[in-house]
Amino acid sequence: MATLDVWLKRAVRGLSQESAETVRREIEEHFEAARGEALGSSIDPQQAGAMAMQALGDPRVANRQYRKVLLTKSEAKVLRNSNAELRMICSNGWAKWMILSAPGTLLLLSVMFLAMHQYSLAKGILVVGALMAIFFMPPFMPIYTVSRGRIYRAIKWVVMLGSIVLLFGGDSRNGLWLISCCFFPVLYTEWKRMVIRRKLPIGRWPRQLYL
Amino acid sequence: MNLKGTLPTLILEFLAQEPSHGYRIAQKIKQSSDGLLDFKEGTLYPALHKLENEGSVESYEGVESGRARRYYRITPAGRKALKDDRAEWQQLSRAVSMILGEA
Repeated sequence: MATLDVWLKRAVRGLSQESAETVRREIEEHFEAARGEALGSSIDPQQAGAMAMQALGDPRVANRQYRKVLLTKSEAKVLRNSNAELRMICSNGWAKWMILSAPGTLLLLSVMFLAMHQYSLAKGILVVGALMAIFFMPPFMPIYTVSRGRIYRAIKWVVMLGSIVLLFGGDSRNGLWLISCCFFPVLYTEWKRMVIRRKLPIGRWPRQLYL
Repeated sequence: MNLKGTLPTLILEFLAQEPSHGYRIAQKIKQSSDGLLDFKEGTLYPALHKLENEGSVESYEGVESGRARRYYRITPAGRKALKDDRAEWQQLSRAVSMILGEA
């Protein structure tokens, strides 16, 4: 049994707690079935255990494959954190109304400054308003189906890239380091969500995966 | 013999006959190929999870000999995937046979 524990420890390295539990349960079940069958064929218990262990193969290979299909610790963390953000926004009535009214207010301000020929200020306010709308308003919008989620994500990328071009204009390439620093957390979260979407069946998607 | 890439198809093939648990699927693959298709059983479950994520199979709790087991059954999407995989494999097999036959 000690050998199976070592095998499992290696096989679940880097996996989230829930994934590790799943792996432990199924491998222990499998091991017991294999060992039981060997014992039924009059093989001595020690040899039966060794045969069942050998049939499982290299735990590092299994770990590499498990990481491709089950949630890892970092992916589970991204899922947990973005869920906390969503809950914070949705549960606080005051924050909810402020977030809902802010993009509209900023758009109005932007038009006002545009009318006053203060173009750079108008541009900045428009970008902040658009980004606020795209990141904070989805919890209140009916986008939680696969196709609507896809449309929302496409719009989100267009708004993000449009904001960069609008803010930095021709200097977008020169200011790449600054843009990368500012958008790194967003890109990291987006990439992790993309990986998680592939790993979870649609029926098990939490709300934040549609975003 | 290396099973690389064909394990999901073989799993779907066995599940199309009847729902089963991981250990029995592994044994069936080995027995049906007279031991020619040998693979490490620790890699069977990642393949099953992948098929589950794709919606080709679904799992449920069952009991066998008084012991709780996770069973897997094929879904309509899985049957369609199996049909496509079979057709693709037959084409590939025909093409390779033609080349090897000529050699």
